[in-house]
Amino acid sequence: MQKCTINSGLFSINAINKLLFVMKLTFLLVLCSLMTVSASVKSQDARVTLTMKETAISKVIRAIEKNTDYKFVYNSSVFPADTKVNVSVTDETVANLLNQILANTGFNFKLLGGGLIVLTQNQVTAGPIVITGSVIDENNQPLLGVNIKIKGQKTGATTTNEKGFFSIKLPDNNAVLEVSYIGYLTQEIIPGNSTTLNIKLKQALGALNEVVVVGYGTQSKATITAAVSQVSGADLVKVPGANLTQSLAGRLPGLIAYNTSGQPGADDATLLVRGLSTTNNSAPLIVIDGIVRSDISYMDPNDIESVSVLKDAAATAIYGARAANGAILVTTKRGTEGKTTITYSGNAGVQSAVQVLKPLDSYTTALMWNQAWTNEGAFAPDYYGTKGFNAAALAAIQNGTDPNRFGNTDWYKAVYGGTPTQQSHNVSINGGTTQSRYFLSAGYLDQNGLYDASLSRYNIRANLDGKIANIFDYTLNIAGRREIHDNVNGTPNNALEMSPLEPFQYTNGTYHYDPAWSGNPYLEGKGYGGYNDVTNDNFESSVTLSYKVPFIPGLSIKGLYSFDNYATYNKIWSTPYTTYQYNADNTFSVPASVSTALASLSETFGQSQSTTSEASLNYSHSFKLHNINALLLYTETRNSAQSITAGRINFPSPLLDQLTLGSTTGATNGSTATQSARRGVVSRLAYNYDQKYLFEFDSRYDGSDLFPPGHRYGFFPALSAGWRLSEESFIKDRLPFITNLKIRGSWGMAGNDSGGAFQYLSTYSIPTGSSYGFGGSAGQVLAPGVIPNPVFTWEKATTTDVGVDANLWKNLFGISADYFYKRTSNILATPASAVPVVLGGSLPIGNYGIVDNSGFEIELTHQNTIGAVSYYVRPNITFNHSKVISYPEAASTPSTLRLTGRQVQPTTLITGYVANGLYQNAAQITSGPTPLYAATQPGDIRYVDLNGDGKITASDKTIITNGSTPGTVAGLNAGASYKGFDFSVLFQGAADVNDVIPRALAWSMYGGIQIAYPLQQNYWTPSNPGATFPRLTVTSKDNQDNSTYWVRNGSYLRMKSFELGYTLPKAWLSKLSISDTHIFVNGTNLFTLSHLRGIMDPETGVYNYPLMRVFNVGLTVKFN
Amino acid sequence: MKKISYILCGLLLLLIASSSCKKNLLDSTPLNQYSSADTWKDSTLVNLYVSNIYSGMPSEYDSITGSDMLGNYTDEATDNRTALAASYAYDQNQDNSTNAPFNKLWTNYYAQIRNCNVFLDNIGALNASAGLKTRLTGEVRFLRALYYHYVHNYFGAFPIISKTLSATDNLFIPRGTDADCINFITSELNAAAALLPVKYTGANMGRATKGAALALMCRTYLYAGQWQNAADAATAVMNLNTYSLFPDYGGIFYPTNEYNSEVILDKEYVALVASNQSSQVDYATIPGYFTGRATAASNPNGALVDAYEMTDGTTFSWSNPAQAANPWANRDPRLEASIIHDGSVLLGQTINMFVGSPYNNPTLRASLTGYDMRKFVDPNYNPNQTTNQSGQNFIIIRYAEVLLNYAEAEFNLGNTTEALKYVNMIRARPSVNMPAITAANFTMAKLQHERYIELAFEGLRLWDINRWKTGPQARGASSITGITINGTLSGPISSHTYTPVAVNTGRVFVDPQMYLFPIPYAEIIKYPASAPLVQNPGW
Repeated sequence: MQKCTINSGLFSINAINKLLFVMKLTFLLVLCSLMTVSASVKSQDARVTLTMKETAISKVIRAIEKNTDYKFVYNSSVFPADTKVNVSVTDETVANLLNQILANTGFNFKLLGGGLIVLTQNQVTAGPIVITGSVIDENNQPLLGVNIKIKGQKTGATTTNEKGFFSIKLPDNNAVLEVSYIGYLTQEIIPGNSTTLNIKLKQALGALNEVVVVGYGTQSKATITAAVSQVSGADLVKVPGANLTQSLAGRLPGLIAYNTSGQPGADDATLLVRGLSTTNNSAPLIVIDGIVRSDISYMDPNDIESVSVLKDAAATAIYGARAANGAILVTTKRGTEGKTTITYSGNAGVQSAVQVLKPLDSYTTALMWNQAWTNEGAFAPDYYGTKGFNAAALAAIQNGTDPNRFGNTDWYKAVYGGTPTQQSHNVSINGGTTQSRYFLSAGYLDQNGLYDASLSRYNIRANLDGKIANIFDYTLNIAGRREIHDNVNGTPNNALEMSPLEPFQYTNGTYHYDPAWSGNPYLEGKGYGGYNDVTNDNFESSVTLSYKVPFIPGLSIKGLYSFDNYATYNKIWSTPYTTYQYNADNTFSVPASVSTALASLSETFGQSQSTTSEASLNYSHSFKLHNINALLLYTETRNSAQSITAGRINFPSPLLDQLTLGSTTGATNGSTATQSARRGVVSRLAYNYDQKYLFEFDSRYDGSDLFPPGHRYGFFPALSAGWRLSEESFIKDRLPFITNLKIRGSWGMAGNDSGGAFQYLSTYSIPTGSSYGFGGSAGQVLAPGVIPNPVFTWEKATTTDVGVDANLWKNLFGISADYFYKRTSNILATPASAVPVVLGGSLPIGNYGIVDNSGFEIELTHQNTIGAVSYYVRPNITFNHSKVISYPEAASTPSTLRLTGRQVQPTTLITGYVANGLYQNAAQITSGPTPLYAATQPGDIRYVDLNGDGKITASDKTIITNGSTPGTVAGLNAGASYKGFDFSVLFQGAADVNDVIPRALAWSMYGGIQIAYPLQQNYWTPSNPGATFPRLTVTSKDNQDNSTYWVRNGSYLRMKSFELGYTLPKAWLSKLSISDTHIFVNGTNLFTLSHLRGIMDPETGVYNYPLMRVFNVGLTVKFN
Repeated sequence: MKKISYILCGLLLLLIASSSCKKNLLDSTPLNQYSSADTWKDSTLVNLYVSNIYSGMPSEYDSITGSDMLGNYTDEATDNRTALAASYAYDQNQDNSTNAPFNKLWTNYYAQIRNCNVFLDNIGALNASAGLKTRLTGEVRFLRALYYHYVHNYFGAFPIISKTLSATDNLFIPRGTDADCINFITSELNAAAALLPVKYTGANMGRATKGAALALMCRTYLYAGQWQNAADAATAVMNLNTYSLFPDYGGIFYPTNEYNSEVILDKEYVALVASNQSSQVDYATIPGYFTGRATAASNPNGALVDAYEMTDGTTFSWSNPAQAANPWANRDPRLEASIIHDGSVLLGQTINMFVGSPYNNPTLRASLTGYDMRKFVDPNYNPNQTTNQSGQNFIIIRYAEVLLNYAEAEFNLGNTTEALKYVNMIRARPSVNMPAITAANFTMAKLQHERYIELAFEGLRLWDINRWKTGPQARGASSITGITINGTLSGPISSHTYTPVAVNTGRVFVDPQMYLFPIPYAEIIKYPASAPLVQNPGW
């Protein structure tokens, strides 16, 4: 190898070589510790055997290339490649062969590192020549940090400065320059006789170009070493739901999202990153534009540039104390330089419940009621059905002849049967100059509910970027949002347990009074019982100022300050409404409590403030092929919250709902106040060599006031490394279809500090809602807090992750896969299940328990264009398993109930008995084991005596399901476009999850609830021994315990969203200054495949507001 | 330009500096909690701490709306909420140690016992008058004994804990012997009696008195079968010369008669929604007609109603046609004060108990027995109010109970004459005026009968049955009866006739298992095999 003598100013080349060697070694060691590496070793001194007659030199060269690892480079405009030669060698070195064939060409050869052979003219000027030049992008903007190296040489590389200029010393004018930059296509240039070069780089298309948002910065997808998944805002707007958390389901490998409700304004999906790995709070950290904030549910998806999910410790350690459960980073859109664009997007649609349960008619229900009392041995029929209906009653029910006493009402349909509308609109303005850029946005959303529950949202945002005095860069984000969550005061969801026998409305037009619920759920759904409205006014702001230090290239200083204020106002207005009882003497009467009730009002004003201050040093520089990115950051956050609540009762009139109008007798008020603080020092050191060998060290030293003094600070480090094999010539040259191949691994720690405050202090408080006074007057009481725990600290999650990212045939196929193993120890929990309650106090949180969680996630991408059709398919799947390693369990827990060592999710598991069908006859009961209940009869569930003690007791329970969190989730995102048409679809599903059939759908008639659903008709009787439901009972508890009898497979597959759109031809619109118009129809939750059809929704169950199906039409128009 | 950049540079540095200078950023303190040190220095706060201990005292009023009145576990009443009622399932032997109705009391009472221990371990340091400290100490020692007394009633012998434990102490404390438990309770009550005043005035009315300590001691000894000690304690109460029988039997409980001469210990209620110290006793007791809710869950047992004697002291009988035709006439006046029957007048309305009548409406759960409960219902209650809150105190111990305890103790000591004197004293209450029992007729059964009638629904019957071991009769399959009202819905009450019927509530009494409630399963399994918490027999 030719020896170069270029001084970089900081390192001598030899020093760099040594450093490189050490680094390679370190790199390999790191990788070897994480995975098995296999790489082929290259032959250096190849020999060839070749016989060719009267053959062009070019063909000989190709033959050498074929038989060895060498590659040839020459300037075809000058090299006499067509000159014919004769070759006949046996086991000859390539050098000797080349000397032979180049003998009369006036060219000689130079063997460079990496097996590259350059053919150069003999008359070349010896000695180094200096080339200067600049590198610009397609917009003629200078590019900083572009790598320029001499192909085949390990030394002598350089990078461009801020103005895009570079200067490089070449050994001769036939050297090949390789110009590469992340996100751009690599160019090779032979300068020839030129000494100045102006190079324009073209952007690479597709995945490798992506910038991924990570904690406190961004990284190129190509060189990231952490496990991070990202979805763009453009994808999210395709789901016409009002809640962003719902739109995330199925999009991101490693993110588990499931719904618990479809109620407008209360339909947040539960989000978990890689499942449950603690018994404590498992919610991921939410970061919006770099600031830890709490809520993404009601952000306008039109404002969102991207959402990324940080999964492994390499990604999360930088958030230290709060990121043990992963983090979700939301980045909003920013202005781009250029002509101002105004975008309007709007859509409107109708919603309906995904699953509408249809109960049995009243006559069938009445017969089942009679059967239940007969089974109890207490059938005593009368006209009112107290313990069974007599013949007269049954006839009246069947024929509808006493409609005021016996209805045939579908309450579920009455409350949940509607098709409410929703609409949303957003206008955004985007543009700027080199000096300032802006993104302004305003949005409105209105989502009505199946009953009077709705959400209105108004949001504005201004994101500004610019320069001050050409020295400082500033950003300013201001966002405001008002959410009005309207809900009724009342319990319309009682409709689920309302008997069809109860008339909905009487023949005289008045409405029925149900004594069990003190009213009428239908009317409560219509707002007759008043309202329970919450208005949230959120203000979020942040400003940053950064300064590039002129005397140290690549060093910048940045300061950030953010201030958020969240105001919430809850008003509960309870109004009486008139409903009637139908008396036994066929008269109507208003119950006294209804006729005399007066309105009451309760209001709560709450607000919370959060400020974050940050100062950071950022260093980003490239020395030749060494790329360094370093960050040192100090951050502190203060939170405070206050609330005031006040209420009055006995309003003289329900017409006006102002506090001052209520009676002062019985007035109440109260308040709360909290404060907390955190601080941390964050550091990141990312180094890569030639974008090939990637290393990163992240850490955070974090402090939280949750812990006792002396235990408040924790250190959370993470190490990660990656190797881009695709940059190695053995892949680049031999397997050119591999566009990108990277293996990466990480190890690190993150913390979790969620738990109640001041658990280390012995305190006393005056609880609201408690009173004890003497002598006839009420008095305050002072109640003790927890028994303090003076020593506890961080919950620690240690994660190891290995992953691979690859792209084949450019971006035709892509794969990203990760395996992780995470151990959460020192789990913050109370040992309540192990400590006898004779202790007498509330137990504080402490560090108890270890949970292991491991899993695998993979995302595949395929995109292609065939003729005028472009399409993509992106499936992803996530598996995870939690295992309890230790847990504070009761000392004598039966082995069947012991969690330790089990593959379970300790917080959501359900315990119960193992069912072995139904008892078919009395002999089966008497033959043992002794049943759980003395009154057990044939037709009841037969439980298994797990501990073999001859009787069914609580000790025979075991863990029957893991609960509502699926162990496997998957999504399939696909789309296509043809000319102006586009189409996309998202399927989302879950598996490895079980549900327990809820009360109303399991035990009809039990507890006196006279309602049944079609599946429940298949109940046990001696003549129906193969029934799927046990015998009907009213008071007998035999079948009400949790058991495997009621466990069902909760797997499901949903068509989560669907969109079909058309982009109008530009020619039609250009005169109107419209650049782009897209019209579309879309929908969400369009169909569901599930084992639970007719019983419940696999996600929301039955007691919650049903999940909504939405059909929507909309358009997006861009003006500029 | 340069100036601007200097200014901005300065601002940036300021921002960086300002964010990192607060050294004690993390030293926050609670904004709405008092520290332990502050609390035990301040007698006002300590007073409120003691109030909190009082707030956990048991009350049948809370059970009416919350769990279930203890009477529903006995031959006093049954619950018409069938499957929804804790007592209904328990009485049917459908419960086990994981879901028994009083599992939560094991936790609640030990929490209050801890509160007492914390107080007793800290009171020494309080800077207050010796008088106040003495009194408060007496109150808290009384309260601790009261909670242990109830732990013993529900669960039997208990782990005796008399100091503040920390989570790192050995908590696997075995149950004491029954004798140790009784000794602990009574010796604490003895100590408390010495510390407590005989009477309070004004704003302190309702605190524990010497009389309360002695009366509870009397009850504890009686339940333990220590007759002489029980008699002595009762005598000590009488010798205080503070208590007397209140003339109006029904009125003992009414708000207008709070702190009357018969009350020894009561739980304080205040009639305001905002007070958080009220009960819903009236609202939950009266027929649903008045409230629109399915209230009136405790249906008095027909057998109890039948047990009220005729005014001449003879026994009522359905087989006596005259009595059966007019079953509630000429009866012990305590019947009218305690029971709502067909034709009773309540809150100005004549109650028609015919099933289907607005007062016994099947859609609001008709009475299973044909009766509703009147005891405790304030005659001045106004159902036409939104609040439904009652400020009527619940009497935990009253003088009549002490007299009956004394009578029973003396009876068992063989002093039947002395015993009879006190039973007849109860019967001679002006508003009751029942003829005296003659010595010839005086038996243990008569004495038990008098307790059944006098103390009905007051939460004491269950403990009596359990110590008398009369479970099979009083809590068994045929313990509940009722009446069927014959006639027509539209006919006047005077046209109704009545037939006694057995009410099938599915009761099963398992002897001796059901004399004690189970210790919660979740607690039993916390103890290691080497130091077990022994479960009650049969559970």
